[in-house]
Amino acid sequence: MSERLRRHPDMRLTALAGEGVVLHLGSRRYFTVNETGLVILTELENPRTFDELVSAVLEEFEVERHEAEATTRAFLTQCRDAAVVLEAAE
Amino acid sequence: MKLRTDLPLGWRLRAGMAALVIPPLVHVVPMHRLAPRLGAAPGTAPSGPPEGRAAAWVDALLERLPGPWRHTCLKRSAVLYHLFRRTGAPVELWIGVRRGEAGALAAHAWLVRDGEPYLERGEEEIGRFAVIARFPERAGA
Repeated sequence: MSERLRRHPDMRLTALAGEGVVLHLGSRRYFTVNETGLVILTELENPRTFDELVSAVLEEFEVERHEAEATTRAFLTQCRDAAVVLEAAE
Repeated sequence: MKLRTDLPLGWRLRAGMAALVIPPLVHVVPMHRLAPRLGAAPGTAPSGPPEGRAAAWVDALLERLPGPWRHTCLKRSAVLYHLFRRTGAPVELWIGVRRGEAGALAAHAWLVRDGEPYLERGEEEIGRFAVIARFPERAGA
């Protein structure tokens, strides 16, 4: 997974009491993400590869690499489904 | 039901037109694309009567309109943002989120002028919202 990912341009993010809140300006939907999601989406302010996101999670939380990879992969799948994250143009 | 106001006719027409055109656009155009158009041409409309009267007129209109025009904080804010930016007033439109008493997530939109909530009912509540978007957007934000 060497593709670079970025936030969807319609997405806005803020921190609220330890969790993240995502607002999608296109759909006008908003929802919360957990601390890990907040770290990943904060990183995605600039284009990042999957490995870079996993590294960010490892820096922030005391977890095993395989766990960080699984969590990051699952979160990114949800984000793509919700049109919150997309592939960055080369 | 008759709408009563002492707002000058020109302002009533301008506000009425904005209240008819902008709310449906809020449904289909993401705010970060709509806001630059709403805020375009600052200073091209004459300064009007006290802005509180214009806001009350817009509130009254939206509260009487159905469906896509029905009063919401975002539609109200978008209409007023357009009207006041056109007069050159440096208003901003902010959107915030917070956890309510029962723990439910809630969002709200409001106008800001000189860093303070502007023409907003329940100003004391605004400080409980975490700002998630503001328009005009700042470079790098």
